Amino acid sequence: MTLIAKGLNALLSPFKAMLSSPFIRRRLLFFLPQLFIVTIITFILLKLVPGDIVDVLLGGLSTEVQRNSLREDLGLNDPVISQYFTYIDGLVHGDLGKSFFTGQSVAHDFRDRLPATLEFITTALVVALLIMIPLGIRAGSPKQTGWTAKLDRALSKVVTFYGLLAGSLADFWLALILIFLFYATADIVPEPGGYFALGAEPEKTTGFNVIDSIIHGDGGALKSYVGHMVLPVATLVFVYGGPILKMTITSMAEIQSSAYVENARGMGLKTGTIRWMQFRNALPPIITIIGVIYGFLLGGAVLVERIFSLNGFGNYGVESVLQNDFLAAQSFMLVAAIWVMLVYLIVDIAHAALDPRIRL
Amino acid sequence: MTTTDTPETVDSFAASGDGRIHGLRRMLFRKPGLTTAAVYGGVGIILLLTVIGPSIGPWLADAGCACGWGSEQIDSGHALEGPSGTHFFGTDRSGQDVFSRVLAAPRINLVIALAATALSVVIGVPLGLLAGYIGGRALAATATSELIMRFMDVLQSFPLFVFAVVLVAVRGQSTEIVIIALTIVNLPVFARLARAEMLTVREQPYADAARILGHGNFRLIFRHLAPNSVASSVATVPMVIGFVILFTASLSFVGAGVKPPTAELGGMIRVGANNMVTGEWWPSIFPGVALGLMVLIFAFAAQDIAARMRAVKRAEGLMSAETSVEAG
Amino acid sequence: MLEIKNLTVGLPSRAESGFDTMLEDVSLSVEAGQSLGLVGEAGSGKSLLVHAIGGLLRPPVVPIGGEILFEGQDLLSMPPDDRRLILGEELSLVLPGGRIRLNPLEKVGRQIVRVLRDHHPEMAKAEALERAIQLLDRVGIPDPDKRALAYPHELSGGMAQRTVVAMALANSPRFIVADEPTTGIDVTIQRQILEDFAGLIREDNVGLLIVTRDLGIVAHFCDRVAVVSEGRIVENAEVRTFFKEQQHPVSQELMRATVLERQKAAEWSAAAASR
Repeated sequence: MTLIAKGLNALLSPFKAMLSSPFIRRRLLFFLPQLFIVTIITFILLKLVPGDIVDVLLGGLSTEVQRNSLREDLGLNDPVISQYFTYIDGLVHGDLGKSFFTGQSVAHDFRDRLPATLEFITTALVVALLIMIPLGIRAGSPKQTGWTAKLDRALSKVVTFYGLLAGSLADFWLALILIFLFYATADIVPEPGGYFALGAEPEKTTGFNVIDSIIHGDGGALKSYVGHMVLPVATLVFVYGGPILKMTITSMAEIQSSAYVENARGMGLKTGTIRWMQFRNALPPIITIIGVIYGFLLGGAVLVERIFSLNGFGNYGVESVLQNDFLAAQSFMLVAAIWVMLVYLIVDIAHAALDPRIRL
Repeated sequence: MTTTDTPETVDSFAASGDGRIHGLRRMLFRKPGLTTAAVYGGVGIILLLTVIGPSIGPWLADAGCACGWGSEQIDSGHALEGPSGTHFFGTDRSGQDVFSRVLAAPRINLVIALAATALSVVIGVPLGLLAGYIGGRALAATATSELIMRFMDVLQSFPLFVFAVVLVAVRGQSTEIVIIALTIVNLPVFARLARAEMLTVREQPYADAARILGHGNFRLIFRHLAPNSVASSVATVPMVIGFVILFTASLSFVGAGVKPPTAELGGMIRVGANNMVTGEWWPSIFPGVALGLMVLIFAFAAQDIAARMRAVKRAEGLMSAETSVEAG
Repeated sequence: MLEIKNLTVGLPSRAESGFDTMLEDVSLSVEAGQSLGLVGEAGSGKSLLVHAIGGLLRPPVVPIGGEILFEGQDLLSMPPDDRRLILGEELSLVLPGGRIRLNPLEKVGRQIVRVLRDHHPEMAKAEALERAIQLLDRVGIPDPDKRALAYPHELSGGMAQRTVVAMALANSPRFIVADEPTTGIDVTIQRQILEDFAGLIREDNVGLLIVTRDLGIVAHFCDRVAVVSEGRIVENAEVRTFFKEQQHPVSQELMRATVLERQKAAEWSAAAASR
């Protein structure tokens, strides 16, 4: 028991240190009112549906009895304020309502889809970082003399153009192009549709496809998964790597022309020391943009999910809206918004950890 | 004298007073390069297409050209034909001429983009200015300011895309609703920018001067502070226009944007999406290229404006640095 | 020891006719144990010269001609990696600005340790930290062992500038190029730092090139003085001769301005005394 306590203590001590920072305390304090406003907005959203929500949910063919019992179930006969508290009470107990489209509880639907989507966007983000950060460091701090100088200048031009281009392409269109090139023309990837080829799914334990494939020792599933995910991941990497690259370059270049980097060069510090100093100082805005993208992608990868028929979280959200399944849509918005707020919270904590000036 | 300036301004260092001003002028009104000309030429072409785009197809037809088509005209006998002398960009699966539709589509995209951007500027900037001006003063004012900004935070933390889809779904699919949805999506961007600038501007000596002269809040804000606080919002407009164009196309792509048969780029890509898998690329590729070009042109314009603004900021900084040296 | 021969610096002209020059045909020389004061009005090119010596010019501003010889080796034509070994080790720069010269994310003691250990990797961390604290003490920072753990934003502007001086002194350089090294520092500390420099010159035979706007510093601490105007050296003289009589109109102007300041100060003190 004490051992566990000790371990926990060691694990939590950096966070405890963070908690002593006034900035982080203020930031954490903000989280609750934010949550509160989010729930109000999602609550109001349902009230915006014109006409009788019960009609919309049940469709045209419903009896008066059905409608009345649903109205009773949803508490629509209560005053609005108490409806809100009922809503909050449900949320606190993990009750996100029932999906009329899938016939399952929304929480169950989310448990089904969230892990796979998280896995998908995290993979794409990690790949994007592995490519874009080194490229951005290089292009953002070009050598000004020597034989590589020309190469660096050319690289920074190419990379700048790519940054603009990536921000201008519709991800769904790029996905179609990739399908056309690599499936319809070159035929080197499996037919798009789903995470796995038909029948290749691994047994479901965690919902994370890679992890499930590995713990069940299902090599075929893993292979099928990788094949199916190459194009979706490539699409996200190309489109959302652009802003990351752009920010890395801008930020690195700005720090490179700073007075302290000049001083470090004047002191004859090693190139490695200077690069590291430059990168540490350039990092905060890069982390911000990574956070914005990661937060966005949970619900925002929806178009790519749709094109590749990935039955993910974003797709569920859009599908529920298009099917007039507003209870599911409402919970989708809530979860996606909380996700974004959590990511931003972590971004702010990272900033404070990096920069002593922010901890005040 | 600082030594932190980037290369463009170094020349103004060594030069005498005259040279410095000359350098500033050179930075602001440098001769438009080829890229700049191309960018603003591109903006011109988009505007032109907005006006005459939908008429080009029918005109060509009237002129007796075999290639002329109305953008909503259907030639069902020639569905899904590849690019040819008759249909430059081929036809889609229902037999509509892709070329005429690509020319016609920018109108709706741009109209939505301009309207939504204008609305979010008109609402967002004053909100931001207000929040920036009243923040950190009396308790009630600070609370109002915080409330506005926290609300913007929350608005930005929503999954924007689904948010827009929901709005369109609950209020019905129409151009107006798409515009409203996109206005809400972009509101926080402008509110934030305007607030951030107002926070610095209101601390400037001239704001104090105006206050000491007894100018009321109203006059202070509108005459002195607001005009100096909108620069970054203005500079962001082209970027937001590009973003809205993409966003509209995405909405239409899931079927929650512009209603068919109106030619719209995202909707056209949607129509051709299934053909792409089977190898008929033209119904989707051409509108996609047009969409990419449109957004890219606005991205370039945004970059150009940002570069000019940086030059102005730097020049101002340089001049105030010089003044302080001379005064000190 | 440091010899600048016909140095010209500029940037490619937009008129396509070659270069706009910002420093033209500058020649200077400072021997070991000697100190040269470089004076001139704002924007005359003094700082640019310091940047040229440190290899810190930024394209499009480039050296166009001439040499900067340090102990016979040309710093301009030397590969950057070789120049790095000299900078901060044998030849140190003190750049102006104070806090903006320090990495905001690192404790100042650690930053001095980096200067020490990047040039002397064999030095143990503890030893380097000990030395860093000594250096902070030497430039007059109170409680140096506590200040070593402070971040730049926790220091006053004067203390930050003194830290920059401490960094420059870290590896006991044989030549110091100082650009406004004491601007923004209290007069008493300013004196302490300049006397430290003077001691180095006298006892350790260090050479000093000091850029300043304060002719008082030149009069007290320099052997020679060079006046820069519009990118050229217009006068280069022994301090004694210079303060007796200035040859060039720009020098006379500088002198007059300083004298006026002094007169004003004298008047003020008289006025204050008579109250």
